[in-house]
Amino acid sequence: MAHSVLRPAAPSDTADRDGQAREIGTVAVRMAELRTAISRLGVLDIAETKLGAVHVDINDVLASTRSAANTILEAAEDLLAATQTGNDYRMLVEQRMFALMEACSFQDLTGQRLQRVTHTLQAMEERLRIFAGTVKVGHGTALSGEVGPDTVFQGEVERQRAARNDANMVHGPGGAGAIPQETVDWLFATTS
Amino acid sequence: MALDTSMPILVVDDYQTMVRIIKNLLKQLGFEDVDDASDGTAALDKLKQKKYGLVISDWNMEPMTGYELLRQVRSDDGLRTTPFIMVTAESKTENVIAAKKAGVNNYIVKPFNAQTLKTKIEAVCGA
Repeated sequence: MAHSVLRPAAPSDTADRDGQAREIGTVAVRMAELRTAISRLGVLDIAETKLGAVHVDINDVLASTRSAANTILEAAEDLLAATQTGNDYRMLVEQRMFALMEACSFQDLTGQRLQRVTHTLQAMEERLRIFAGTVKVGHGTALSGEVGPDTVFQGEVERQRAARNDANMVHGPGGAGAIPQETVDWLFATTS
Repeated sequence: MALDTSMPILVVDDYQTMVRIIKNLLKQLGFEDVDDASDGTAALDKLKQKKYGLVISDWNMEPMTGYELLRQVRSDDGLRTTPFIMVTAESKTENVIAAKKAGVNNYIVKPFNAQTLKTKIEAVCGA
């Protein structure tokens, strides 16, 4: 082994080393590009914000669906078990019908929540497509417009939707920052 | 408080289920002249064709939101005094304050019950 170390490098060895160094350099550049591309996916935004909100929305959909089903069943059971007659029975029916109608509002709220989940999935899909275009795999779409160091792979649909939602203060039901009717009433009474 | 149940009411919501619920609740409260629209643009058209005693609107609709509808109503000389209740799932503090500043008369958070709707209508339209 000592001989081989002391032996002057043959021209072919030097060429190999230069070739390897170039390859390593190319790999390093590619890895840096990949690292940048991965960071532009906005992984933290997806993991901490978007997916977190999806979990909350789906859990709320489950909860409100369960609550509505319970309300509907209770109303039906009350009516089937009713022993009242005449006007008393009519009042009971009216009361339970109100409960049924109120329970049906779950469809509006779950619809809004599921729409938000769909929008999040569309946004993630768009980001992955742009990512694929940037790292040149599959049928990705290249990122259009100026690309800065903090650019996130936000597709046109996601960008426009976010801009519209911010401008119109449209963020859908519940979630962080939602306040109950009592607080709304208090705010209403105290805001000039 | 006595309510004028003959006054026409416009319900604005893009969810037909919600429109039906609100219309049924209003019917139970005695209101018979109730129309509906599926977004702010359609609502504005109706408001310009007929004089309504009350608008009950959702916030989150496309293309024109309830918030934009409210601002358009308040900036129109012929409509600016029309009572306006927002019935919405948009229940962040900033939404409530923005609606109040834009001139909304009351604000109901979904889901709500018939009693809440009745109380708010009385507060806005009661004699």
